[in-house]
Amino acid sequence: MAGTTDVPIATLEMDSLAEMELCIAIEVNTGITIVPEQLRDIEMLSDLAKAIL
Amino acid sequence: MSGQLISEYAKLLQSCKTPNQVNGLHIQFENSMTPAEVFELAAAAAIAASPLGAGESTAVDDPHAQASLALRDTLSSIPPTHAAYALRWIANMQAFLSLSGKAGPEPYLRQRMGQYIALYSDGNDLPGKRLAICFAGAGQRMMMPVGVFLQHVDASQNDVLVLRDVARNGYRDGIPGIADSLEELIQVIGTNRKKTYASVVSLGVSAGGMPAIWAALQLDLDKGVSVGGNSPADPRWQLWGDEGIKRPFDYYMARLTKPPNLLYIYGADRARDRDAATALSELLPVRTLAVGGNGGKPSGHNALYTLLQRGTLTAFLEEALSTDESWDRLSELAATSPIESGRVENNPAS
Repeated sequence: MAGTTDVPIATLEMDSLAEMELCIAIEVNTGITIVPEQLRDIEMLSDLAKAIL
Repeated sequence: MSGQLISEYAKLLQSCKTPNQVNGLHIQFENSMTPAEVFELAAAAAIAASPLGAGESTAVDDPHAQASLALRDTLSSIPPTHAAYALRWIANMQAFLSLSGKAGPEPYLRQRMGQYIALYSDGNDLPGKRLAICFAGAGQRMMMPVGVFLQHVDASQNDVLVLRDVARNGYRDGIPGIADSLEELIQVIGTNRKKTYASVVSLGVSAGGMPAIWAALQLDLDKGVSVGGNSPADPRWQLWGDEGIKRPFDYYMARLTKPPNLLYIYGADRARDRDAATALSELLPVRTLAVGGNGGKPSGHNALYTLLQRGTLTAFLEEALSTDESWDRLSELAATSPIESGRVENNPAS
């Protein structure tokens, strides 16, 4: 991944709808299922990327 | 009730392969269901969740009962996680509606005006009726499921036109099939009203906030209300050279037949929206109103959700949409609440 600065997912200020839509988008585009309950346990954006890649 | 909605929901739920697909289905339904349909689905879920009675079968004459039993069949045949998602979603929707304090649903009927526009009306043409032109945010909703929002707006006094920003860019490219720009979209809405209303107001939330203000100016509406809308300084609205959005606003301001009645509502603890309120009030004669938090918790971007949880959304919307609102009453309703009365978990989202 490009860039050196990681981002806490909390800074994205996602509400429950945004969480659901992100999980749906990940699933549609990668085939990997992460549900909102799991997403809430992921702290950093890099951790989410590792879960997908 | 025909049971058609329940049958459709049961069929689509059955076809979901993952929990995310179940959530996607729920989002789709939330974006269009009327309060009556939520009540209908909740009643069906209550039947579906009950144990099968002796001699009970799906061979019943009542279409609603038949659909309820079909939903029960679906819930018992899909993965337990999916069934749990479905039952939790229906329970949450019902709980959100109950925060209105009303025993029954507001009797709105949905009339699709296009793929992304729907008119919700009880079908009665009372002389004092108001039309609320609602610009949904990027979440395609009025900061909560459409049925939950409508349950908090008196159907006997209001028709509600809900526009959805499918491109998620603040309607700047209009709505597909209707118009290619915000200005054209507003013009189409303004020239295609079939009924005469006592008053016409606009209400926009989040990314729909600025379009609601724009519509109030362009159409010379009785009131324009933005809830957590973008700041005029937002880069997304710098479309007209150095003057930004000031240019079209100045143009429409000069053509108004009466002083504009503009209101910007925001969560008191959301810095970005607070800044937007200041910036907008420097550009236009807009009154600003901060919604305080509940029970010591901050009030964020979704100010309407804060009021929903507090159980005061109906009263607040009535004042906010009224052309002769009581500012004292509106301020009182917006003030910080010491308690979290009526709280329902799971933010219905914007």
